[in-house]
Formats: sequence, C-alpha cells, structure tokens
Amino acid sequence: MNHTFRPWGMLPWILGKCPGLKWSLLASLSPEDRCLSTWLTLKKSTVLTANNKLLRIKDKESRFTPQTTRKVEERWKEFLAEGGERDSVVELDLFVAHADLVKTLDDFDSAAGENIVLDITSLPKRYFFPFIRRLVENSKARNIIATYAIPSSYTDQALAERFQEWRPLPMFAPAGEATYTKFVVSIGFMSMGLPDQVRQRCGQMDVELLFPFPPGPPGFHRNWEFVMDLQRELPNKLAIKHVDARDTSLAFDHLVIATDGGHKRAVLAPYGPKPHSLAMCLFAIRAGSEVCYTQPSIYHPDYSIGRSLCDGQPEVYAYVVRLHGHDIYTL
Amino acid sequence: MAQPAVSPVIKGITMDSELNPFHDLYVTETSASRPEDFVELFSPFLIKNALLLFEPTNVVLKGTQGCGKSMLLNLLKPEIRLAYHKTPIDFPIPERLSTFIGAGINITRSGILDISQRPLSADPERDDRLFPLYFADFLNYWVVRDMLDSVTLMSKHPDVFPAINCESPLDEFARSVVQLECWFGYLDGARSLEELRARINTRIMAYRNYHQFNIRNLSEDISRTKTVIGEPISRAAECLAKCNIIKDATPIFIRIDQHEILCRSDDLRHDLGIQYRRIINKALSTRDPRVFYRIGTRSYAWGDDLAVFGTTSPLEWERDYKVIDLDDLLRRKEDRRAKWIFPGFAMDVFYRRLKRVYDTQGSTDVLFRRAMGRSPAPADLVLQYVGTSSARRALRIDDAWPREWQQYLESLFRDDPLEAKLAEAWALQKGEDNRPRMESPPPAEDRPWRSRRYWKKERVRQALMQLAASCGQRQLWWGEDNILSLSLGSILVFLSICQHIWDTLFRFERERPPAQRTNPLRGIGPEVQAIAIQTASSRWYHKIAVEEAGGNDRQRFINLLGQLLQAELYNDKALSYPGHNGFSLSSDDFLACPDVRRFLSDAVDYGDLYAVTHTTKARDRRQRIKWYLHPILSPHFKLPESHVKEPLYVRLATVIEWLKRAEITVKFPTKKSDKTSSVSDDLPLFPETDKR
Repeated sequence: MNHTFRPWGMLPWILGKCPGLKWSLLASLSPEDRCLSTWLTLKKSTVLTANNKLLRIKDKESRFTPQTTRKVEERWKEFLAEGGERDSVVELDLFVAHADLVKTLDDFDSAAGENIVLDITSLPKRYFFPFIRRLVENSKARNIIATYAIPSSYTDQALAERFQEWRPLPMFAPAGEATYTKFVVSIGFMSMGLPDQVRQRCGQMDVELLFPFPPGPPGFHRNWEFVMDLQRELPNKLAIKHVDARDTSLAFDHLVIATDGGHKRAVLAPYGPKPHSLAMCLFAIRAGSEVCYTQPSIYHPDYSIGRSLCDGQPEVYAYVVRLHGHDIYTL
Repeated sequence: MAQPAVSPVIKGITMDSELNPFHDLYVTETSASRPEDFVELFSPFLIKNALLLFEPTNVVLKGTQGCGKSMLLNLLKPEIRLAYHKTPIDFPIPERLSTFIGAGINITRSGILDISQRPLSADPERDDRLFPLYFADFLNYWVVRDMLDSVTLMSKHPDVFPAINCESPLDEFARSVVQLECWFGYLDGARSLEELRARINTRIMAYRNYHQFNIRNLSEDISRTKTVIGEPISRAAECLAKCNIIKDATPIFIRIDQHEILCRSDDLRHDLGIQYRRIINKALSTRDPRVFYRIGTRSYAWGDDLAVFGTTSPLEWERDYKVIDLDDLLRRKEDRRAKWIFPGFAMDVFYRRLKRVYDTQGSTDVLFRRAMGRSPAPADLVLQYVGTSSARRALRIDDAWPREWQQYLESLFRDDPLEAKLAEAWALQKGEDNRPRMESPPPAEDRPWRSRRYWKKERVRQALMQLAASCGQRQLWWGEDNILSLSLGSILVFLSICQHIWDTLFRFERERPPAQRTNPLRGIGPEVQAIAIQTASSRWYHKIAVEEAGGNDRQRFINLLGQLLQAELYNDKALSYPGHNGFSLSSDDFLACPDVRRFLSDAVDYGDLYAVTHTTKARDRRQRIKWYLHPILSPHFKLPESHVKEPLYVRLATVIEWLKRAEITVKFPTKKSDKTSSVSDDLPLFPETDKR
C-alpha cells in the first residue's frame, strides 16, 4: 500500500489550507442543479480569478432536448443572478473532435493563473479524462484540484441512453502493443452495454470490480444489478473490492495493488462514482493503462436532482491533484 | 431399441456443483485468447454451407449479432489452426481449401477511427480530403504487420502449416518487401523481418502518438509516403510467393472486423465514415489474384454505400465480392419445403456443450430431444390456460348473442375449450355487428371450424393467446420445437435459452436432496423450461436498451409495437387477422423516408426485428417488406411466434406515427409532395390499415 498523503475533503476545508490563493475554474453548465455547487462555493469564498470557463455541452438531440434546454436555461439564469460572467460560458457538442477538447483545455490553461480547479461534477468522461491528462502532463499550474459535488438524489430512470461502442476515451488509447492481463471496472448505476461489449476483449483477463461503498439504498440495488449484468456475460470470476465512493486516493491505491504497482497492464472501465473515475484517470496517466467506455449520447435531464448540503453549504469534495508543483498521484 | 442418449453415470459432476454448460455464451467468439476452448466447442456444422469463406474471392459475411460471424472468421487465424493441431480433432476445413494465410484489422480496436480527431492542417477542407488517405495508409500498415505476424507464427510450425515453406528465409522476404515502390521509401534501411516489423510499428506508433497529442505533428516522413489502399498488402503477398515462402496459388485472406462502425458511430462524422467505407470498397474493387478480403458486418450496414473511393462506379455484387448471409442461411424459410439447417447446427452445439460437463453418448438430436422433450400440442396448452375458468370468462361470451348460441358454446367449451373458441370465431366471421347471422349453430355434421384444416391451423395460436389472456394465464413455451422456433436461427439466442433453462433447473433442484435431483439429460420438466424461456425473453427485451447505436430508442419502439400487435390480436375476436403479429410496408414507402429506413434496418441488424420481403396479394402485386418481432421477444409480449396469413398492412405515415409515439427523434420528409407531410399528432394508430 502506498502511504503517500493525498489531501482530499470538503472544498471549504481544502481552501482553508491554501490561504491567499486565487483559483481559476473549469466546469460545466448542465441541467443538473449541482453543476454550480463548486462555482458557488468558490465564489462565496472570494477565491475565484476572472478567468473561469463553464462548458455548456450539448448531447445528441432526443426527446429530452426541450426539457434539458429548459433546465440549462434555469442554471444559466442562476449563474448570472449570482454574479457569473456571460462570457465565461462556451457551448460545445458532446462529440467534438479530440483536438477541440485539447484546444478547450489549453485555451483555459493558458489564461488561468497558477491555481486551477477542474470541477468534474457534470463533465462527461469524454471531456474530463483528456482534461485531467492534459493538465497533469502539460499545464504549468502549481496547484490543481478536482472537485465533485453531491446531489440530493438521482433519477430512478435510466441516467443515460444511446451508448457508443466500447472504445478508448480520447487520449487513453493503448500506447503500443501490450498484453493486458487485468480488467478493472468501477461499478456504477448502469452498465450501459459494457458487459455485452467487453467479452471478446476481456474474457480472459483477471477482473476486479471497484464497488462503491457505502452508497446506501436505493443506489446499492442498482450497483448489484450492474455486477449481475457482468456476471451473466463474462466467464471470469469477479473479485469485488469495496471502496468508499468518495475516496479517490483509496481507489487509486486499489488500482496500484491490483496491477502490482502498475506493472500488470490493465484496461480500466470507469462506470462508477466520479471520484473512482478520477482515480482511474490519474492511475492510467501514470501506468499507461487503456481506459475504455461506452460513451452515452444522451443524458437524462434529471440525471441528478438538487444539491446535497452540508452545514447549509453545497456538499463539494475536493481532491488535490498537484500541490506546489508536485503531482500527488504517482506510482 | 433406440440408442440411449445419456450414459447412466454423469462424469465428475453432481447437481451440487451446478456447472451450467451454457454459462459462457461466447466461447467460440472470444477464442482468440482461448483457442483450445474454441476447438472443443466449435461446431463444424456450418462449414459446408459457408465454404465460400475459404474460397479465393472477396466475401462479405453478413448477419445479426450472435449469428456466428466471429466464430467463422476465427477459423482464419493461425492460432486457431495451431490449437486444432494440438488436439486429435481435425481442422474442420476441407483440405483443398485449408491452405491460406490470414491477417486482418478490427476497426474499433485498432484505433484507426482516431484519424480525423485531430486536424492535420489549418485548412478543414484539405483535412477532409486527407483523412481518408491516412485511413488507407494506417489500414495498410496494420494489415501488413498482422500478415508478418501470421507468417512468423506459421513458419515456426511447419508441420501445422504446409502452406509455408520454411526453407526460405524470412529476412530475404522482408528485404524484398522493403524494396517495394509502394512504400515510397519509408521502409528503406530495414534489413530483416525484425527490422521491417519495427519500422512498420514506428509508423503505427507515430499515428497513435499524434492522436494522443504526444507529438506536435505527423512527421513529413509519413505525409510524403502515404500508401494507396490495398497496394502494400497485395505487393507484400506477391513477395511471399516470389520468395517461395508460399506457393503461388496460396490465397491471403484479410479480415476486416466491425466494419459497421463506419456508418453507425456518433464519434465519427457521417460523411467521413462514408469516405472510409469507400476506401475499403476500393480495396475490394482491385480484385487482386492473391489477396481476398473478408468483411464481417451486419446485414443492412453493408449495402448503404457501395461506391468506390475516387471513382463514380460502385462495387458489383458477384463480380467484386460475394455474400454469405448467415441470417438467411440459418433462418427457417417461409416455404416450408426448403430445408431448415439451424436445428442440426443448434443440436450439434448443444451436444458439444454438454459433452464438456456430462458423460454424453448417442447422437446429437436424440440428446437434445431427450433433454427438452416435445413441445406442447394446442390441446395440452388449452387445458393449462383455461384451467377451471368458465366459458363466459374464457370466451368473453357476449350476452347479446342468441341464447341458443350461448348454450351451444358453453356446452362445447366443457368438452373442448379450443373448439368452442374456434366456433365462436367462425360465427363472428360469418355474422355482423359482433353477433352471428344464424340464430342457431350449424348441425353437428357441418362444423366448418373443424373440417377446414387450414382455417383452423392458421387460427389456433391466436385462439390460444386469447384464451390465455382472458383466463389471466401466461402463455407457455417449452420443448424442442418451441426452443428452435424462438431462436430464429440465432445460435446466441439458442444458447441463452439453454443457459436460462439450466439456471432455472438448478434453482428448482437446490431445495431437493441430491439423490432426488433431476438428471437434465433425461428430461427437464415443462414448468422449468417455461419459466426459463419467459425469463430469457424478458432478458432479451431488456438487453435491447444497452445495444449501441440507439438501443434505448429501439427498445421503446419495440415496446410500443409489441403492445400494439398484442392488442390487435387480442381484440380480433373473430380471429380474422391471425397474421397481425407483424406489419408490412410497401417497398416504396420503406424507401421514401431515409430515417425510417435506417431505423427499421438498424432494428433488423441488431436482431430486434426481422424482415422478410413479400408480394402483396392485392391486385397491384406491389413488392412489400414485412417485419416481425424477433421470436425470442414473443413470450415477453405474449404474442404467438409463428407467422400465418397476411401481416398488418400499414403505410409510412403509420410507422412515422409509431416512431413519434415512441419519442424517437427522426427527420421526416417535409416537402408537400411527400406522403409523410400530412402526419399530424392525432393520427389513429392504424389509420390506413389495409386489412384483408
């Protein structure tokens, strides 16, 4: 087990440990109430610079489009009402080319100061994975924090629809020829076609599941359905590791252990809570793992509902990725 | 006396171990990493019907998911051939066709689709012209590398691969490849096979690094040496022959897997996907005497665009390529005189699965029949459905009917509920305003519903469906014929049904002492089978949502359609339209709206619907297409899986209306002249049904 201290906790607590720093925020303006949680917290703490960017990411047109548009409009009005700058919102399609993802991040990075907050709460994996990679590998920022806000609840309907084929996320394709022996899946609410699509590729790998704990009812029911889906399709024995749903550091450690310090080549499937996905992302950057996903084209407009509050403030967790120029998540 | 299907001893297994022989549905698809399992479980049954795959010609291998495409394509891999050699089992390809070299590319896995994700220049139009050329170049390098790997592996096992002449040094072959002009000098300097491979690898890695944004530019080395699609592959094949590594006539088979991604991925711009497909079409159009392509694809995905890159001429079927349509091969023909080969295939697969777990003996068909038993006759089913229900409840007898008829039906029902149902239907067909025209039933010697064999045969399933529904019972499926019919030629569906049957059996048996447990090979009870089939059906329905390329949309459509058709059949008390478990569109209507065509084609490609062309019996004799739910969905929607008489005739506007109700976003023709322009939100569900 790696005993590196990796600071994470409630965002105000982390901010309190970095007095005097001003932060630039890259986040998403989405239909979710919680998409503004990080921004509101930073704004209230008066630590935001003027160089912030909120991405309005448009998914594919569907029966949800009118409702999604209306809800984004509500968030937009709230953002303006709370003193947000009109110019800081940029509209992009969900399936923009990889080059546009990189350009978006690079533009933000070059304008941002030394301290960056990337709010992954409502950013699709297709976005936040390459963003994190680009920040870790290219940014000159001295401090980088990823944040994740908790909602009140999730819709009990399908969270997302119209899944793409199982493919590497942008910038997480295999680096070269290698034999992959480990398949790690972080378990979420929906398997999104994963079990059907991975049997050919991963049928012979050791499979390890990062099971979020404690999600509590009714979430755990959906998590176990996910596991059952995998069990039905894959002949492999599934090793389940229970990992705190908010503990990126612990999830990262599990990945390190599962891959023998990154020596065993692994394919990672981030379907679980965002903090686990963040761990997979950071681990994959270091270990050269392939990260694949069945990217949905459509998200439910009520994907999540409300904002969870803690002491009257939005419940936002912060994960320090880089501190004073030192990367925190290393092998 | 018939040969016993099972030995009395089950080898090394009791019911406690609960080893489901069907647990892993995909062994023969995933065998790249488990070749020995492939050898054990592969059924050579299909080979004689798919020999074209091993003939020197380009072949498009079409079929829905799970029909066995990957299984057959796996036979082209040297690793599989090697695995056969290690067992006493003969390689299942006839000797005259068994000498070949296999290589290939998987469109998704190779990362070739990343081309176009990063601009090559500041000019998007120029990039759009360049992307297909780089796609071609990447494909060439990837396939040649795979060809080198195949040859290297084969040359290490001369006893297995007589196609390879191991006396000839591979380094000499490598040097002759390097000298080919088609590389434009990129490979210069490589002096051995190892160096050649490293050089090719460098190029592939350069592409990857560029698309990972690890490097700023693709080097000029690459941009100045782009290769023409297929040419390096052909020339490398030529070198193999020139260097005497293979005989002149040895064919090289190039697999291109997951071709359908090129027209179905949101990640790839549609127009670019078309260009990429045209690049592959160009490779096929060259008709090289040594290199032959094998395209694994779904049925409709192939025919969308056959144009050849850079030309105005399309690929020609039979001239440029031949087709093996596995769905067509394995599905039962409407003309029942045509032999249906799927049962033989399924039973062979069943036998091989069981052989791994049980000590089986006897022929494959006996084993399957013994385990599953006969499917129920209508007379068996009707008793299960009706139970103790009264005639009034089961037949929904209308009080407005003449008293004599009511008494007659009640009396008939006591003896034979199914006959009572048919009598009621006949009376309705001959009557008007939902009541019989005749005041009294026909005399006993003149009961047309009994004497008219086909009239009865065509209506029995609908009658049973209505009886089950009115008595609040589930319809039941079990036994050999039902399992084969529900599978519709899909070996994956067949295996899935068997998997559920074994799972259900284990669940049932768990409560019983080991000594009293059922030996599945001696027969699995109808109750277990019926429950398992119901579960399998619901599972297939739920799986639709997670299929790529719009599974959720298709699931909502299938749900709506299933319910509509169920209501059609249930409400048709006269049993006048027993074929309305499917719908039919004229071919003109089908072609009129590209989005509707694409949606229905996708539903067929993913195995949610299946389509059959037919000719209307109307005077115009117009060509039509009819669609049915995949039979495995029948138990879920409580619909008969058999197809009789004419389906529900609808027009394009109706299908569009269904799509709208299923909340599917498709673009409909809007020109005033188009048939679909008049679609309004309040159309009835079957507004222009052409019932006959």
